Amino acid sequence: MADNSLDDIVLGRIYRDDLEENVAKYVLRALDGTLDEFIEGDSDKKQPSRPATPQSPAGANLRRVSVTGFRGIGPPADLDVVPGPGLTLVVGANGTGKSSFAEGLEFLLTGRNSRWQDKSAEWRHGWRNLHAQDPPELQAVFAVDGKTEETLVSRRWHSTDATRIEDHALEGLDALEWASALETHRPFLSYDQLSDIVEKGPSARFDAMAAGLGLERLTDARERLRHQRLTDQRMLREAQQELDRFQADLDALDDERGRAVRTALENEPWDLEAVILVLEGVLGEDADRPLNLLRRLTTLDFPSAEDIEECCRKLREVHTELQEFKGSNAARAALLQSALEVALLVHKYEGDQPCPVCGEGSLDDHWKVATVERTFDLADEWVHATRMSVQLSDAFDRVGELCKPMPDWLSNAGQVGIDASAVTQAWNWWSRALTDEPGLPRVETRDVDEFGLPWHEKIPKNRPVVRIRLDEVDQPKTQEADQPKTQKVDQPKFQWGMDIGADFAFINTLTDQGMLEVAGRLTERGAQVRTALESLRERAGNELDRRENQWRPLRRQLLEWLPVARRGQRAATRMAPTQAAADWLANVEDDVRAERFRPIADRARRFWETMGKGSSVALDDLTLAGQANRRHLDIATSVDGRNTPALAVMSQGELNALSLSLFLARALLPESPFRFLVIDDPVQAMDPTKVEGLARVLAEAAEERQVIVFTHDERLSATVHRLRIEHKLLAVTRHENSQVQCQPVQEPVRRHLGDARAVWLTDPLDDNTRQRVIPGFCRQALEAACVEAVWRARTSAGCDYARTEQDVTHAQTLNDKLKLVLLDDLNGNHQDMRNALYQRFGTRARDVVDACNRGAHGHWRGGMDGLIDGTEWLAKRILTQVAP
Amino acid sequence: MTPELMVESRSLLDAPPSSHPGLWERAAILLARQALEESLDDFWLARSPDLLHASMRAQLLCLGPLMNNDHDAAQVAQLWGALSDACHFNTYQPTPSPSEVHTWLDQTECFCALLARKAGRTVAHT
Repeated sequence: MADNSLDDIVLGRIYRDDLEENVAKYVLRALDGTLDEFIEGDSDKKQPSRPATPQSPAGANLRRVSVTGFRGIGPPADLDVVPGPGLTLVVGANGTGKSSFAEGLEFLLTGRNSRWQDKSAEWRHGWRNLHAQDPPELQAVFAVDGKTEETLVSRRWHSTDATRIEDHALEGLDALEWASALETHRPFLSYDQLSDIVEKGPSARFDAMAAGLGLERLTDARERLRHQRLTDQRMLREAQQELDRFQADLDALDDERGRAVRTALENEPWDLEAVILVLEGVLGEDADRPLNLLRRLTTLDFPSAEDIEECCRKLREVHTELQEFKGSNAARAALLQSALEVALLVHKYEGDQPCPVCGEGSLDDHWKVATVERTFDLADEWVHATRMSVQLSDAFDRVGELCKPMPDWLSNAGQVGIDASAVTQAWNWWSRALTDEPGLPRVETRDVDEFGLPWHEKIPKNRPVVRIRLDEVDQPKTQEADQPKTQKVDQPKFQWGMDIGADFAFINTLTDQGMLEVAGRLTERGAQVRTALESLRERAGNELDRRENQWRPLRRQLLEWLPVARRGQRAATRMAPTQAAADWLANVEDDVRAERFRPIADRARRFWETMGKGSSVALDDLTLAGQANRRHLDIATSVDGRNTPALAVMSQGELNALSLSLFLARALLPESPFRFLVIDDPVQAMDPTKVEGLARVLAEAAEERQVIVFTHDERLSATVHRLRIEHKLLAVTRHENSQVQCQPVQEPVRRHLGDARAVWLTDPLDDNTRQRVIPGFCRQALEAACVEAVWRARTSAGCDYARTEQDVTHAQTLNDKLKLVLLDDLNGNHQDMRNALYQRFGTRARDVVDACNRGAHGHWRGGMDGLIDGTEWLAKRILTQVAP
Repeated sequence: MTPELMVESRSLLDAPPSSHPGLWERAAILLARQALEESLDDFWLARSPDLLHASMRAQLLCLGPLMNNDHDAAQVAQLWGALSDACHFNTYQPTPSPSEVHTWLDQTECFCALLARKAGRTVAHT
């Protein structure tokens, strides 16, 4: 069957079944043999390269089989057959070597022989004929379609004493490209195989029948899918097994990586992308995740001792300077400068006058010069004070920066098994360094504006407004238990402080003593935090290391496992569609097989019915059923309308007929390149009606094929002749030293007359011999004519076949046979027969019969040529007049 | 007479004319059967001329008592049957193989001689 039609069928079925696209893809790829590329490249772009549809080999007819030194044949022997459809019977007694032609041809083409293939060594070693003078050789000549010259195939052994059947040279066979056709359309059937076909196991019977239906591509495709599925299963199993190897380690890993990987691998299909993210360290942005926490713990920042010391130094410096400031009455100078400037303004506007403050001195030019000088000095003091203010502000900014509160996530450290309480406590204490009360000397602010200076707004803008504060110092009342001990400072009740201008918002409320206190606290509390923190970092680091050590080997394993897993995962995704594709294909294959087997089954049934005429067993149906190792050829038979297992009720002859029917129906498939069929010994164990059926079946086959039948049983050739089936008859005879001859045989009347004539015409023979031999042959010619006439008459009258055969067999003598022809009664009266002979054909007929009968025993003398002519005349009359 | 037919029969088998292979075996059988029948005729002539014209079936039945050897008689009957079959047209009878023909001729020679001895005459070979 053409492969294209298979594609059409599959495509049609895909459409009809509305096959899922993914599954259909696998079906088509498997069918095209591009499954591997599809899977490896998963490329839809790549157009499947369809394997070239194999050209079916040209048909061939057989012309000649030549056998030398093989089996029963010694010196070279040829079997010539006429190419083209037709029936050729090769007849010969057992042991004449006729089967050697059949076996020789089979071995020539297949290198095997079904008859001795499974037999003992003795059988196999007996292949060589010991009478051969020449090295063994098998040769066949074929007429191949489309070729004008003959095609020769040969196997030649090198010497006459070749023992091994393998040691030969084969020529000409490869060019015919018959290798697969010989498997699927075997053109040979021997008697041994005849029983094989039905007696083999059910699956062998199935295979024998299903071969050659052109389903190989479907079967191959299904096999590819099956193989793919097995491979996929293996790959998935490998991935699973490898995972099993480190599953315990994975279960033991108690962190989010372990958890994430476990979650990803908990169910199939695995979330390998999630695993990859874990392996790449991407675990999401959640800061609370243990590893992040641990990592942050190990790098938790805190001001260094140097930073703190620097900050404290600044505070102390400011403190010292404030002390100096206080000592130099800089604040007072600022105030004084303001007072003097006010006085100068008074003097400027009101002129010389007595001092409005003391009332004793006077404000005059002299005073003015001295006072202006003095305001400059006081301004210097004021600038100093301003600078102080800035320094103070900076120092406290710095403290503020240092004393950042503890990060809130630190409180989660317990989640990763890290006890951070020491740090938390110390840090909280640290962060309260500026705020912890009591213990800090603080000032109370009173704005100088309270004094309500009248020239306030007349002070030039670029000049600072000096406000004087009166600082009241709070004394610490109690000491709280959880607070680090503070140095108790003896504080003055009031303190000069200052706030200079709007640009300098010095809002420190600490006394300079308070600053020293803060500096002390920073050093002390900072050290405590750092100590606690050091331990915390170490513990967090250890925990991190522990987890890393647990993780690292697992990570390596996961990395190694990933490609395997990915492969397995991909394999797993293919398993469902490949399975579905294989199942679907199996169904299609079943359907196509059934459809294509149907005509074979029908034909086989018809053949069997022809051969099994008169059998009580009816062959109802033949179907190829089941799959895989349950496949079988279902032979449905019934006896008298009741279903019965075929093989149990059929006789050997019926089984042979069934086998032959199956063989012929298959061998006649138009796809077979073999225009010839070789059947060896099909008649055995058949009763007469079956032989007749066989002849009819062979005749039908011979309409299409060159059918060559070897038989030792004359019944077949007789039946074929009797049924007037067009055929060629060849007789195989074996002479001394395995000399085998195969010659055409004429139909019996012609042959016996030919014998008689040949004796008459052969020179070196003496007359006495002629006299004694020729009448014998003439009598046989007449007998043959009688038998043929009986058959013709009885067949056309629809007489019982078996009775006819029985009558003919029992009619031994010419007289008996004449009784059958003339009286239709074997036991008829002799004289009635003679009268009938006379009445039908006249005196000459009676004379010829008498001459033959007497002469056969040497009791007649007369003209031999006249006898032969008379015999021919009478034979023709019997055949034409009795049964035209 | 008898030996002549047998000699001729033998020579057809052993040294046949070159033409028509296979034919001469069949001719040899025809001759052999006639040789056997003539030996029987001679036997009856010598021992019981009444039987000369009896049917072959009757002749073969009477052969045992007259030869005084049922075994030999049965063998003669068997041989004659085989030769006779070969000399008649029989649908299902395969052409005898050369070795079969050889055996028949051997047997015929043997029984012709035996019958001649039993007939009280020795066979003069040429």
